[in-house]
Order: sequence, then structure tokens, then C-alpha cells
Amino acid sequence: MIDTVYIEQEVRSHTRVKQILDRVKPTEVIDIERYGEVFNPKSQNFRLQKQNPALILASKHKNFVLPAPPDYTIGSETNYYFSHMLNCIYDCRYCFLQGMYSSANYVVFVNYEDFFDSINRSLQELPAEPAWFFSGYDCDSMALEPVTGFMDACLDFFESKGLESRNLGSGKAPHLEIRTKSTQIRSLLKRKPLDNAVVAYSLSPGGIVEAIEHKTPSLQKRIDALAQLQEAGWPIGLRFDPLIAADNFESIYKRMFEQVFDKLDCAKIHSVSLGTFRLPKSFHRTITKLYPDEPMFAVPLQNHSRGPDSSTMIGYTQSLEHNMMEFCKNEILKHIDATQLFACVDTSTGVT
Amino acid sequence: VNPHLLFVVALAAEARPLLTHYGLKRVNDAGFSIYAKGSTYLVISGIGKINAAAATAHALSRLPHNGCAINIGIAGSDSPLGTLFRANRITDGNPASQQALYPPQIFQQHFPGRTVSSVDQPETNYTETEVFDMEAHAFCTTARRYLTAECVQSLKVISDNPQTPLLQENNEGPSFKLSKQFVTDLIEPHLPEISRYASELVGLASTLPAKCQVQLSPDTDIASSELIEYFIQKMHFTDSQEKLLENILNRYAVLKRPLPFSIEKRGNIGDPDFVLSNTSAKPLDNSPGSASGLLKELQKHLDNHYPSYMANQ
Repeated sequence: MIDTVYIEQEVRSHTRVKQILDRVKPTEVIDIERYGEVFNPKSQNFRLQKQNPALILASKHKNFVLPAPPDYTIGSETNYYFSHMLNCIYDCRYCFLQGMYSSANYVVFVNYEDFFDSINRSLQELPAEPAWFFSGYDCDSMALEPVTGFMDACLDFFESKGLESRNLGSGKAPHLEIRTKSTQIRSLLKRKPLDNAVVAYSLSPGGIVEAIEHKTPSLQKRIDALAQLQEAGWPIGLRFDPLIAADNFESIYKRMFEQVFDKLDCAKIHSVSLGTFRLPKSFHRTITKLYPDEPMFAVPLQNHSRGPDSSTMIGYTQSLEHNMMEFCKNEILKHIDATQLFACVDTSTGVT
Repeated sequence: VNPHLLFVVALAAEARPLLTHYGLKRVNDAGFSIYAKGSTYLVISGIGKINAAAATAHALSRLPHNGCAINIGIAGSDSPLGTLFRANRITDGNPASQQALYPPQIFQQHFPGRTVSSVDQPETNYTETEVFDMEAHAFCTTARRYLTAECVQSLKVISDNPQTPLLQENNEGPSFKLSKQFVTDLIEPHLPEISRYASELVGLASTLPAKCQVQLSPDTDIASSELIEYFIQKMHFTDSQEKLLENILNRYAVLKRPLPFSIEKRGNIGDPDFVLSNTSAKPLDNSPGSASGLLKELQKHLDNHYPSYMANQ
């Protein structure tokens, strides 16, 4: 599956590097100074590298945990995200990673403990409200779990924070969202569910999965995984994000909502969120150069608000976004309570 | 257009087996000797970094930016003579400089990878983990200005090692004559592997997206770029209108929508002419409004179309 592994000198003798090499069994190992030497050069082609990405094992030195964008919430006002990995084994055509990085190689930061120390430090500075930590922003949380074992270590950490909070009666236990499309859930099913961790699946209609979300598990497999996790007692979340414009939008999304909600105990769903396709404009420009033949980009798009880093965002026209969101909200609210639903909206366009 | 394949070699003796294998013929060009057949090219650079950079730029500036380039040459290492290596890390041989290049390894490799250090003078402190040459770093740095890094690679055949060093002890002149025939004989046995590797690299380059085709009629497509060129010749477009036209025609091509007016392609290959009918725009009218009229008409027929996705998944 992975032929080439690059290893930073600093982590060459790290126990986790040895474990990962044993699991991957690469045909070629190449020593490097810093991961940026391989990952950052601009003259690379993401589309070509996606045919056979290499794995880069590295150490992260700063910015372990970052504040989440303002719209990225499922109710709490204190939201952070972290990524133990850059890039993803899947190949979703709408993914912003294609526009952000010039390389499709996977970078795995093996100093997991530094992430947890950083979360601990963030917690000490936080108000009384429980904070949410989102995993799976620059990668899929679970897709490479059999190789990295990161999420298992992460859940150990959040479990200990939950116990600590209960013992102190503080009610400040941090919450974790594990965002994924992966059906590699064996490690989750093997352990006791945590009440401060939600396994959230990104879902799209089956036809869109087939056409745009390359190399991902089918919608049906994701629904089966969700049902298994719910059955095992894990809080689950549904993320209908991004909604993709289609000639047959209403029929395919209506059918998907029925497929999903029919299979799950709706009252026990932790949260459902939805948002339409949007990208920073500069990423969109890069991605459409990589994939000029992709139909999902050949539709009318317009500039939206400034993003969190002051970049211009691009998305569907306001009226189309409004119609898509309203239709989906109405359909979803046939199955769940309004308190379970969160919409990721671009507030400047007035689309809610 | 097929992606091109360019070989960059330092010596005529290194080039000889490749010229014969690919049937390449000398083409007239000043500065460097360039050989070609179809979409395969070879340039002889001469020894050293400056020559390698200049020859690579000279050749690639004359070729389309969709293709690949391979540097092939002899090198020294503590490995048996004649061993073929693929550069998986290339340094410029200067210990003060940390700038290493890592040619991306996309497909399964059939021969081993090594660090290639491009030195300024022949190096005889041979090691097993490193291969010494004099061109790869400059070649790679230059070629990446024209081509994507995945399509720029370097292959080295071992010509000198501790048992057959290039220089005498105390660096007092050459220890043996690196004859032309000796160099050719080192490269020649590897032609099947080199040729297979080059084909795979061209195959990789050919997966880059081609120009989009617009549907003229149910059974005639045309590159949108050709149609754009035609419209621009016939009507006055501002820069932003030209970009918009390109964007709109690309959308027609990708969504596989027929154009909203009849259009017939006439003329010769490479110099086509088009006849438009059933359109309110006047494409042959060079008045300022005609381009915007055409754009409006094209846009109007496209704006409510989105991709359709399979429903029964």
C-alpha cells in the first residue's frame, strides 16, 4: 500500500517509527532532515502524487492545537482542532487539502504525547464550559489508524481527562470529535465507549460518493459502521458537509436521509451538522487547475465572505445555498429534534 | 499531444546507446547538440553543473510543459561497476548547503535508489550509501522550473569505485582512462530497464489532464482552446471577457452540454474556420457589444445546469 517512507533524522529511533515501519513494510526508506524538504517544494503535482503517496514520519514542534473556525461548532463556543497527520488516504474532489498542499504524501507526526500536553495546557486556560477538540481536520481521523494507532492513544488521554473531571466534580471534561469516513472501527469497538467522545461520519449520497469521494467506503458501509458504533454505545454524529449541488439534488439527498435515519436510533444521535460546498478562493484556483475536467467545479460559484485567515471564500450562489440548506434542514427535521441539528453557515451571505 | 521525453546526458559516449535505441537524429540547433525522433529528445550537456543547467533549460524551453526529463550518466560509488541506481535524494555536494532535492517516487521501482551528490570535482572518497556525479542537482533544479517534480528523475551507472578509482592515490592524475567505449559499454546493458522506466514516466505524465473538448454537434468535439482562438480572431474581447469565455467554454466541455447555437467546423486541420447559425450574437461583427452578447448567450444556457449523480446507490 505504501512503497516509500521518508523519516526525519530526529525521530529515526522513535519506538513508534519502528512500529509503523513493521506495519507498513515499505520497499524504500529515505532519511531526511525535516519533512518540509519533501512536502513543501512548490514544483510538485498533487494529482500525480495521489497515484501512490509516500509516508513521511516526522516530529511536530509547534501549533499542536489551534482554535477552530467560528462556524465549526456543534454547540460549544470553545472549539479547537488538531491534526496528527497531514493529508488523507481518500481522494475527495472537494477536499481543501488538494489546494492547501503541493504534495499528496502523508505526513504523520509521531510525537503524540506533545499533542496531549498541548491540549492539557489549553484546558488550563479555558473557562468553565467544556471545550470541544476536533480531530480529522487536515486528515481523516481513523483511515490510517491500523498503521498509526493515534486515535487509540488519543482516546486513552480523553478517557483519563473524563475520569479526572468526574473525580473533581468539575464538569469540565474536554470533548473529542473523531471526524471520519473510515470503516476501520475495530479499535473503537474493542474499547469501552466514552461519553466525552463522538464518532462523527461525513456522509454524502451514494452517487456522489461514487463520483467524487474516490477511494472512500460506500455510503452503505459508513451507515453500517455508524449502526455498529451506536449499538456498542458510542455517541455518534452525522456530518452532511459539504452538500454538493446537483441536477437531481432533492431526490438523491432525500433518499440518503432516509437510508441513514432508518438504520439508526435517531433519538440517540449526538448531533447532525450540515454545510454547503465552500473553499478558500486560492485553493479553488489550484484545485481546478489540477482537475479542470471535474464537473462539480463547472457550476456557477461566487465569492463569499472573508475566511478566518482573511482569504476570500468561494461557494454556490446565495439563492442556491439557501435552497439546498432549507431543503436538507426540512428533511432532516422529519427524523431528529431541532436541538440536535447544527448548520455551518457563511454568515456574511445571510444564508442560514 | 503526447508528453515529451527528454534525456539529458553529459557525454557523447553516454548518449550513443540511447541514440541508437530510440533512433534519434541530430536536429539543427545552436548551443547544444539536440537529437530527436517523434516526442523523444536528447541533449548532450557537457560535464558539470553549469553545462547541465544550461543544456536542460535550452532544451526544455523549446518543448511543451507537459512531459518528462531524465538525466542519465556515469557516477562513482562503493558499489560494483555497472550498477544502475535511481536518485532518491540529490544534494549539491557542498557540505555548507543543506538544500537536498527528493525526486518523488510514484511508481514501483525496479532498481535501487541512492543519494546522488553532485560534486564540482571528481570525488574518490567512495561510500556505499552515496553516488557521486557532477550534473544531477543542477539538472533537477533547472528541469523543475519547466516540469512537475514527479516527471524529473536521474539515473546513474557506476563507472568508478574503490577497486577502480578515477584518480590515483594522492589525487595525482587519472588512474585509468575512462574511454568512450568503456562508458558506452556501461550504459548499454541497462537500455531495457532505462527504456521501461522512461515509458512509465511518460505514462505518468500522460495522466495529467488534457485540454477540454467542447461538443460542436452530437458527434464532433473540438478543443475549447481552438474555439477560443477563433472567437478572439473574429471579435473584440477584453482581457476579462477572454478569461470568462475560456471559463464558460470549459464548463460546457466538462458538463458535456451542447453549445446553444449550431456551429460547423470547416477549413483545414490546424487552420479551421467555423460557421455559426441560430444565434442572436453576431460573432463576425467586430462591434464592442458582440463579445458580450455571445458571452451572455453562452452563460444563459448553462447557468441552471449542474452535474447529475446516480440515484440508486
